[in-house]
Amino acid sequence: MECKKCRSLLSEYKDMELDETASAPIRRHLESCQLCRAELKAMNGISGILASIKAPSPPSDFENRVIRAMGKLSPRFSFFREGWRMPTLPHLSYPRFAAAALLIAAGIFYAGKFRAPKEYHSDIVISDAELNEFDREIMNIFYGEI
Amino acid sequence: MLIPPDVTKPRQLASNGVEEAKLIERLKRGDEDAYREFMALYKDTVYRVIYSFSGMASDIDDIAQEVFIAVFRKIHKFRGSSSLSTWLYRATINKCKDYLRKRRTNTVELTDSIISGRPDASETLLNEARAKALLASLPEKLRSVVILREIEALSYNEIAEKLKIPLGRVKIMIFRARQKMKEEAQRNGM
Repeated sequence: MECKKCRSLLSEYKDMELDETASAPIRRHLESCQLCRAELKAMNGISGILASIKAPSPPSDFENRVIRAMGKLSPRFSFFREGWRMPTLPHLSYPRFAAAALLIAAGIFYAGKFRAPKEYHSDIVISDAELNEFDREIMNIFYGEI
Repeated sequence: MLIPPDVTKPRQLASNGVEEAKLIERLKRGDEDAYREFMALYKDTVYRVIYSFSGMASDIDDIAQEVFIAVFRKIHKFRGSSSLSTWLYRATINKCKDYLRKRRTNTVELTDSIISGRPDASETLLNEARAKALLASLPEKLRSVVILREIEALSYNEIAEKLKIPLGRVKIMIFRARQKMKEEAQRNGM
Protein backbone atom coordinates (compact mmCIF):
# COMPACT_ATOMS: atom_id res chain seq x y z
CA MET A 1 0.00 0.00 0.00
CA GLU A 2 1.20 3.49 -0.83
CA CYS A 3 1.42 6.21 1.81
CA LYS A 4 -1.08 8.37 -0.08
CA LYS A 5 -3.70 5.62 0.00
CA CYS A 6 -2.93 4.81 3.62
CA ARG A 7 -3.33 8.40 4.75
CA SER A 8 -6.62 8.83 2.94
CA LEU A 9 -8.00 5.94 5.00
CA LEU A 10 -6.15 6.62 8.24
CA SER A 11 -8.95 8.69 9.77
CA GLU A 12 -11.48 5.88 9.24
CA TYR A 13 -8.93 3.33 10.44
CA LYS A 14 -8.40 5.26 13.64
CA ASP A 15 -12.13 5.41 14.25
CA MET A 16 -12.53 1.68 13.53
CA GLU A 17 -14.88 2.40 10.67
CA LEU A 18 -13.14 0.00 8.28
CA ASP A 19 -13.78 -3.72 8.07
CA GLU A 20 -10.96 -6.22 8.48
CA THR A 21 -10.33 -6.49 4.73
CA ALA A 22 -9.66 -2.76 4.52
CA SER A 23 -7.86 -2.50 7.87
CA ALA A 24 -5.33 -5.29 7.37
CA PRO A 25 -3.27 -3.61 4.58
CA ILE A 26 -3.17 -0.37 6.58
CA ARG A 27 -1.98 -2.20 9.66
CA ARG A 28 0.75 -3.87 7.63
CA HIS A 29 1.77 -0.57 6.06
CA LEU A 30 1.94 1.14 9.46
CA GLU A 31 4.35 -1.52 10.70
CA SER A 32 6.83 -0.53 8.04
CA CYS A 33 6.15 3.21 7.48
CA GLN A 34 7.39 5.63 10.08
CA LEU A 35 5.79 8.69 8.44
CA CYS A 36 2.32 7.18 8.40
CA ARG A 37 2.77 6.03 11.99
CA ALA A 38 3.63 9.62 12.90
CA GLU A 39 0.48 10.76 11.10
CA LEU A 40 -1.65 8.37 13.15
CA LYS A 41 0.12 9.44 16.33
CA ALA A 42 -0.67 13.08 15.55
CA MET A 43 -4.31 12.19 15.04
CA ASN A 44 -4.43 10.38 18.34
CA GLY A 45 -2.73 13.36 19.97
CA ILE A 46 -5.44 15.70 18.74
CA SER A 47 -8.11 13.29 19.95
CA GLY A 48 -6.40 13.28 23.34
CA ILE A 49 -6.45 17.07 23.49
CA LEU A 50 -10.14 17.19 22.49
CA ALA A 51 -10.99 14.61 25.14
CA SER A 52 -9.72 17.00 27.79
CA ILE A 53 -12.72 19.27 27.35
CA LYS A 54 -14.67 19.27 30.58
CA ALA A 55 -17.98 21.02 30.30
CA PRO A 56 -19.35 22.71 33.39
CA SER A 57 -21.90 20.61 35.26
CA PRO A 58 -25.53 21.67 34.98
CA PRO A 59 -26.82 23.37 38.13
CA SER A 60 -28.64 21.06 40.55
CA ASP A 61 -31.93 22.92 40.02
CA PHE A 62 -31.64 22.94 36.22
CA GLU A 63 -34.91 21.02 35.72
CA ASN A 64 -36.80 23.44 37.99
CA ARG A 65 -35.38 26.41 36.13
CA VAL A 66 -36.56 25.08 32.78
CA ILE A 67 -40.00 24.23 34.12
CA ARG A 68 -40.31 27.64 35.72
CA ALA A 69 -39.28 29.26 32.45
CA MET A 70 -41.90 27.30 30.57
CA GLY A 71 -44.60 28.50 32.91
CA LYS A 72 -47.42 26.15 33.70
CA LEU A 73 -46.74 22.85 32.08
CA SER A 74 -50.29 21.61 31.70
CA PRO A 75 -51.06 21.39 27.96
CA ARG A 76 -54.47 22.86 28.80
CA PHE A 77 -52.76 26.20 29.36
CA SER A 78 -50.34 26.02 26.49
CA PHE A 79 -52.56 28.29 24.36
CA PHE A 80 -52.25 31.09 26.88
CA ARG A 81 -48.63 30.38 27.64
CA GLU A 82 -47.38 30.39 24.10
CA GLY A 83 -49.85 32.76 22.49
CA TRP A 84 -51.83 32.01 19.38
CA ARG A 85 -50.16 30.03 16.66
CA MET A 86 -51.43 28.40 13.53
CA PRO A 87 -52.82 25.07 14.74
CA THR A 88 -50.83 22.05 13.67
CA LEU A 89 -52.68 19.37 11.80
CA PRO A 90 -51.38 15.90 12.59
CA HIS A 91 -51.64 14.27 9.15
CA LEU A 92 -52.60 17.10 6.84
CA SER A 93 -50.28 19.72 5.40
CA TYR A 94 -51.51 23.30 5.16
CA PRO A 95 -51.94 23.35 1.34
CA ARG A 96 -54.04 20.16 1.57
CA PHE A 97 -55.99 21.63 4.43
CA ALA A 98 -56.70 24.79 2.37
CA ALA A 99 -57.80 22.65 -0.60
CA ALA A 100 -60.13 20.63 1.63
CA ALA A 101 -61.62 23.79 3.14
CA LEU A 102 -62.21 25.19 -0.37
CA LEU A 103 -63.97 22.00 -1.47
CA ILE A 104 -66.23 22.06 1.59
CA ALA A 105 -67.10 25.74 1.00
CA ALA A 106 -67.88 25.02 -2.68
CA GLY A 107 -70.04 22.06 -1.63
CA ILE A 108 -72.07 24.22 0.76
CA PHE A 109 -72.53 26.92 -1.91
CA TYR A 110 -73.80 24.53 -4.59
CA ALA A 111 -75.97 22.60 -2.17
CA GLY A 112 -77.78 25.90 -1.44
CA LYS A 113 -78.05 26.81 -5.09
CA PHE A 114 -79.68 23.58 -6.25
CA ARG A 115 -81.92 23.19 -3.27
CA ALA A 116 -85.67 22.74 -4.13
CA PRO A 117 -87.61 26.04 -3.81
CA LYS A 118 -89.44 26.41 -0.56
CA GLU A 119 -93.22 26.20 -0.71
CA TYR A 120 -94.82 29.40 0.48
CA HIS A 121 -97.37 28.99 3.20
CA SER A 122 -99.43 31.87 4.55
CA ASP A 123 -102.06 32.09 7.21
CA ILE A 124 -103.86 34.87 5.29
CA VAL A 125 -106.81 33.48 3.32
CA ILE A 126 -108.09 35.51 0.35
CA SER A 127 -111.34 34.50 -1.28
CA ASP A 128 -111.82 34.31 -5.07
CA ALA A 129 -114.27 37.24 -4.92
CA GLU A 130 -111.67 39.41 -3.21
CA LEU A 131 -109.06 38.42 -5.82
CA ASN A 132 -111.44 39.32 -8.66
CA GLU A 133 -112.09 42.69 -7.01
CA PHE A 134 -108.32 43.25 -6.71
CA ASP A 135 -107.80 42.42 -10.40
CA ARG A 136 -110.51 44.85 -11.39
CA GLU A 137 -108.90 47.65 -9.41
CA ILE A 138 -105.54 47.02 -11.05
CA MET A 139 -107.10 47.04 -14.53
CA ASN A 140 -108.83 50.33 -13.70
CA ILE A 141 -105.57 51.91 -12.69
CA PHE A 142 -103.83 50.97 -15.97
CA TYR A 143 -106.68 51.16 -18.50
CA GLY A 144 -109.28 53.35 -16.89
CA GLU A 145 -112.81 52.42 -15.84
CA ILE A 146 -114.02 49.43 -17.79
CA MET B 1 5.50 -1.89 15.82
CA LEU B 2 1.76 -2.39 15.57
CA ILE B 3 -0.34 0.64 16.32
CA PRO B 4 -3.96 -0.20 17.07
CA PRO B 5 -6.62 2.36 16.34
CA ASP B 6 -7.81 4.46 19.23
CA VAL B 7 -10.68 2.48 20.71
CA THR B 8 -11.59 4.75 23.57
CA LYS B 9 -15.25 5.68 23.60
CA PRO B 10 -15.30 8.40 26.20
CA ARG B 11 -19.01 8.94 26.67
CA GLN B 12 -22.11 7.37 25.26
CA LEU B 13 -25.55 8.83 25.18
CA ALA B 14 -27.91 7.12 27.55
CA SER B 15 -30.97 5.91 25.73
CA ASN B 16 -32.80 2.71 24.93
CA GLY B 17 -35.64 2.14 22.50
CA VAL B 18 -38.62 0.97 24.54
CA GLU B 19 -38.07 3.29 27.47
CA GLU B 20 -37.54 6.19 25.10
CA ALA B 21 -40.81 5.47 23.27
CA LYS B 22 -42.70 5.52 26.57
CA LEU B 23 -40.96 8.71 27.58
CA ILE B 24 -41.91 10.38 24.30
CA GLU B 25 -45.57 9.48 24.82
CA ARG B 26 -45.51 10.99 28.28
CA LEU B 27 -43.77 14.11 27.00
CA LYS B 28 -46.46 14.51 24.37
CA ARG B 29 -49.11 14.27 27.07
CA GLY B 30 -47.37 17.11 28.92
CA ASP B 31 -46.35 14.98 31.91
CA GLU B 32 -44.15 17.19 34.08
CA ASP B 33 -42.29 14.21 35.55
CA ALA B 34 -41.43 13.14 32.01
CA TYR B 35 -39.95 16.58 31.33
CA ARG B 36 -37.80 16.20 34.42
CA GLU B 37 -36.71 12.67 33.48
CA PHE B 38 -35.84 13.74 29.98
CA MET B 39 -33.73 16.63 31.21
CA ALA B 40 -31.99 14.46 33.81
CA LEU B 41 -31.13 12.00 31.05
CA TYR B 42 -29.80 14.44 28.48
CA LYS B 43 -28.70 17.61 30.26
CA ASP B 44 -25.04 16.52 30.54
CA THR B 45 -24.93 15.75 26.83
CA VAL B 46 -26.48 19.11 25.98
CA TYR B 47 -24.04 20.95 28.22
CA ARG B 48 -21.10 19.08 26.70
CA VAL B 49 -22.12 19.85 23.13
CA ILE B 50 -22.82 23.51 23.85
CA TYR B 51 -19.56 23.95 25.66
CA SER B 52 -17.54 22.21 22.96
CA PHE B 53 -19.29 24.06 20.18
CA SER B 54 -19.33 27.56 21.59
CA GLY B 55 -16.43 27.41 24.01
CA MET B 56 -18.52 29.64 26.26
CA ALA B 57 -19.12 28.80 29.88
CA SER B 58 -20.91 32.03 30.74
CA ASP B 59 -24.14 31.58 28.78
CA ILE B 60 -24.25 27.81 28.80
CA ASP B 61 -27.19 27.64 31.27
CA ASP B 62 -29.32 29.93 29.13
CA ILE B 63 -28.55 28.10 25.90
CA ALA B 64 -29.25 24.69 27.48
CA GLN B 65 -32.52 26.02 28.87
CA GLU B 66 -33.54 27.30 25.45
CA VAL B 67 -32.69 23.95 23.86
CA PHE B 68 -34.98 22.01 26.20
CA ILE B 69 -37.82 24.51 25.97
CA ALA B 70 -37.63 24.38 22.16
CA VAL B 71 -37.72 20.58 22.23
CA PHE B 72 -40.67 20.43 24.65
CA ARG B 73 -42.65 22.95 22.66
CA LYS B 74 -42.21 20.96 19.48
CA ILE B 75 -42.49 17.48 20.94
CA HIS B 76 -45.96 17.03 19.40
CA LYS B 77 -44.27 17.20 15.99
CA PHE B 78 -41.94 14.33 16.83
CA ARG B 79 -42.90 11.37 14.61
CA GLY B 80 -40.34 8.90 15.89
CA SER B 81 -38.65 8.40 12.52
CA SER B 82 -35.36 9.16 14.24
CA SER B 83 -34.31 8.88 17.87
CA LEU B 84 -35.03 11.60 20.37
CA SER B 85 -31.31 12.12 20.86
CA THR B 86 -30.97 12.86 17.14
CA TRP B 87 -33.55 15.56 17.52
CA LEU B 88 -31.86 16.91 20.61
CA TYR B 89 -28.39 16.99 19.03
CA ARG B 90 -29.74 18.89 16.06
CA ALA B 91 -31.63 21.34 18.28
CA THR B 92 -28.53 21.89 20.42
CA ILE B 93 -26.20 22.52 17.49
CA ASN B 94 -28.72 24.87 15.87
CA LYS B 95 -29.11 26.84 19.10
CA CYS B 96 -25.33 27.12 19.37
CA LYS B 97 -25.11 28.43 15.81
CA ASP B 98 -27.85 30.98 16.53
CA TYR B 99 -26.09 32.03 19.68
CA LEU B 100 -22.73 32.53 17.96
CA ARG B 101 -24.41 34.38 15.12
CA LYS B 102 -26.10 36.74 17.55
CA ARG B 103 -22.83 37.38 19.31
CA ARG B 104 -21.10 37.56 15.95
CA THR B 105 -18.20 35.58 17.21
CA ASN B 106 -16.49 32.34 16.47
CA THR B 107 -13.95 32.62 19.21
CA VAL B 108 -13.52 30.90 22.53
CA GLU B 109 -13.55 32.53 25.93
CA LEU B 110 -10.50 30.79 27.20
CA THR B 111 -7.72 30.87 24.67
CA ASP B 112 -4.41 29.16 24.88
CA SER B 113 -2.56 32.46 24.89
CA ILE B 114 -4.60 33.75 27.85
CA ILE B 115 -4.18 30.61 29.85
CA SER B 116 -0.53 30.00 29.12
CA GLY B 117 0.26 33.44 30.50
CA ARG B 118 -1.07 32.35 33.87
CA PRO B 119 1.57 30.96 36.21
CA ASP B 120 -0.96 28.63 37.86
CA ALA B 121 -2.14 27.12 34.57
CA SER B 122 -2.19 23.38 34.98
CA GLU B 123 -1.63 20.94 32.15
CA THR B 124 -5.32 20.04 32.22
CA LEU B 125 -6.38 23.66 31.83
CA LEU B 126 -3.85 24.15 29.08
CA ASN B 127 -5.10 21.11 27.21
CA GLU B 128 -8.68 22.26 27.56
CA ALA B 129 -7.78 25.68 26.19
CA ARG B 130 -5.96 24.00 23.31
CA ALA B 131 -8.95 21.80 22.60
CA LYS B 132 -11.25 24.80 22.50
CA ALA B 133 -8.85 26.67 20.27
CA LEU B 134 -8.67 23.71 17.88
CA LEU B 135 -12.45 23.43 17.70
CA ALA B 136 -12.83 27.18 17.25
CA SER B 137 -10.49 27.03 14.28
CA LEU B 138 -12.96 24.84 12.41
CA PRO B 139 -15.92 26.07 10.41
CA GLU B 140 -19.26 25.30 12.11
CA LYS B 141 -20.15 22.32 9.94
CA LEU B 142 -16.84 20.58 10.50
CA ARG B 143 -16.97 21.46 14.18
CA SER B 144 -20.37 19.76 14.58
CA VAL B 145 -19.04 16.57 13.03
CA VAL B 146 -15.87 16.57 15.10
CA ILE B 147 -17.78 17.13 18.35
CA LEU B 148 -20.09 14.22 17.63
CA ARG B 149 -17.12 12.00 16.78
CA GLU B 150 -14.45 13.06 19.25
CA ILE B 151 -16.46 14.28 22.23
CA GLU B 152 -19.64 12.22 21.94
CA ALA B 153 -17.91 9.17 20.42
CA LEU B 154 -20.64 8.52 17.87
CA SER B 155 -20.03 6.25 14.90
CA TYR B 156 -19.94 7.67 11.37
CA ASN B 157 -23.38 6.21 10.69
CA GLU B 158 -24.84 7.84 13.79
CA ILE B 159 -23.32 11.19 12.83
CA ALA B 160 -24.78 10.89 9.33
CA GLU B 161 -28.21 10.19 10.82
CA LYS B 162 -28.06 12.94 13.41
CA LEU B 163 -26.85 15.65 11.06
CA LYS B 164 -28.81 14.37 8.07
CA ILE B 165 -25.80 14.16 5.80
CA PRO B 166 -24.61 11.25 3.64
CA LEU B 167 -22.14 8.82 5.18
CA GLY B 168 -19.52 9.56 2.53
CA ARG B 169 -19.70 13.22 3.39
CA VAL B 170 -19.18 12.47 7.08
CA LYS B 171 -15.98 10.57 6.25
CA ILE B 172 -14.67 13.45 4.16
CA MET B 173 -15.64 16.03 6.77
CA ILE B 174 -13.89 14.19 9.60
CA PHE B 175 -10.82 13.71 7.44
CA ARG B 176 -10.72 17.42 6.53
CA ALA B 177 -11.39 18.54 10.09
CA ARG B 178 -8.47 16.46 11.34
CA GLN B 179 -6.20 17.90 8.67
CA LYS B 180 -7.20 21.42 9.66
CA MET B 181 -6.75 20.76 13.36
CA LYS B 182 -3.34 19.24 12.72
CA GLU B 183 -2.27 22.34 10.81
CA GLU B 184 -3.65 24.57 13.55
CA ALA B 185 -1.81 22.57 16.21
CA GLN B 186 1.44 22.80 14.25
CA ARG B 187 0.99 26.53 13.72
CA ASN B 188 0.52 27.10 17.46
CA GLY B 189 3.20 24.67 18.56
CA MET B 190 0.79 22.38 20.39
